[in-house]
Amino acid sequence: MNSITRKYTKTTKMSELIEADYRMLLLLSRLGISLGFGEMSIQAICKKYDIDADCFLFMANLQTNRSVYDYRAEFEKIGLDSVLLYLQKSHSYFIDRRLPHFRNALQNAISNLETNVQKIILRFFDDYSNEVNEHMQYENDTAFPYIFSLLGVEVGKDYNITVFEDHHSDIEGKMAELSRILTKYIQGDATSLTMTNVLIELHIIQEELDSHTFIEEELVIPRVKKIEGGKAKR
Amino acid sequence: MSNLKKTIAVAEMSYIIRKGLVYSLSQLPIVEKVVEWKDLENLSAQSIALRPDAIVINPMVLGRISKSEIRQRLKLDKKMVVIALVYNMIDEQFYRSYDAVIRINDSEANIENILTNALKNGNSSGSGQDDLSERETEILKSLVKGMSNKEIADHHNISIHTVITHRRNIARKLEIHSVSGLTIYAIINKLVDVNDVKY
Repeated sequence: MNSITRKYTKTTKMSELIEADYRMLLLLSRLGISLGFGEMSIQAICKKYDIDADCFLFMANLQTNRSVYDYRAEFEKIGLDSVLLYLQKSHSYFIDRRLPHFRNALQNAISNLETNVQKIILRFFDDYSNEVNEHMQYENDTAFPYIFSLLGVEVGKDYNITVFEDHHSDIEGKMAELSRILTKYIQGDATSLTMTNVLIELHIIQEELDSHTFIEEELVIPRVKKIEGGKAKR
Repeated sequence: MSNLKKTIAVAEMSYIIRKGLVYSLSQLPIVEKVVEWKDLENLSAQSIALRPDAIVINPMVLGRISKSEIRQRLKLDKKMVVIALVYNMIDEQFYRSYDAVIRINDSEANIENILTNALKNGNSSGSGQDDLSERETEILKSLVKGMSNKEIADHHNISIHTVITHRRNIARKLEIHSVSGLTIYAIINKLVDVNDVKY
């Protein structure tokens, strides 16, 4: 997709990062970093927002340079606690901002359809949102505190990461269905960009959720298992 | 013809070989879509949902395992054809259980033949783009009205097994798997009245 591969370092200007890959705007949004950073470097911004710069760089490289970035090796070098903070921030981004924002846009885009159809589409989306919400809430309330405690001293007796793994069900499938339904069966107005924008947003959310799940399932869980193994031996 | 439109997945670690194969395959008339799987851990839900008709994979990725193990490991459904991509000197035992073998020095025409034959034998279902049959539409209506498989079977005078087959085909054709998604489909297409749906 991108013909230019650029690796980022702490001294890279934040504005250059955005220019190199506009999707980094989403990373900033997830982390709650506001725009208007002038000439500040990644490091300076991270310091300002109290974000681990290594973790930030990892997320930026993982998302734009995945094919050339040895993310598994790099992941071992960054603090698990800062990754968890990133995931928690992402949760509130999805639940409090991303999904509600999308719901408004969706509602607007389908406002010319029959009321019944509108209702049922919104209900589908709301059910989906609730599922995401429940899932992320569970991680915030149960799984993450456990991992944090693991990073401290004790192993929680009644919980291990396998429970979390089992709990980690597929929540992206429904968004893909919604996207298909809107694309295939709703006669849109060819001159209006409203539905086009909604569909693009929907695909972006899907990508963001995919990447979020990837970090949890493929990177965090294996690392936690290793820590659990190490503690059990002692 | 639906059997002209095949989706092929390529699982290969080497960038150069993967890209080359993806390009070669995409040039073949029977191929509609090629998905790249860089490594198996990376299989996103999306690529699995694409349900390829065949997967071309370097046997070294999986080691010496049986065909059923391959399917298990890759979470493939039974119909998917598994083709070995062989480009180095490896023992035949590594790819004995595969449905077909593509070698690095195979010509374009050869590759096409191998693929066509493998897909024919593999009685793969093709990536459906067909409309629902009348029967399927009727069953869809019952489904979104909240009827159970048993009730649908009784209502239409067919076996539960047939109901399940129909449901599977409906989901495959529309690419909508949840009942709530099917409900939206049914209402938009005026198959049912909103007051009749369970969801």
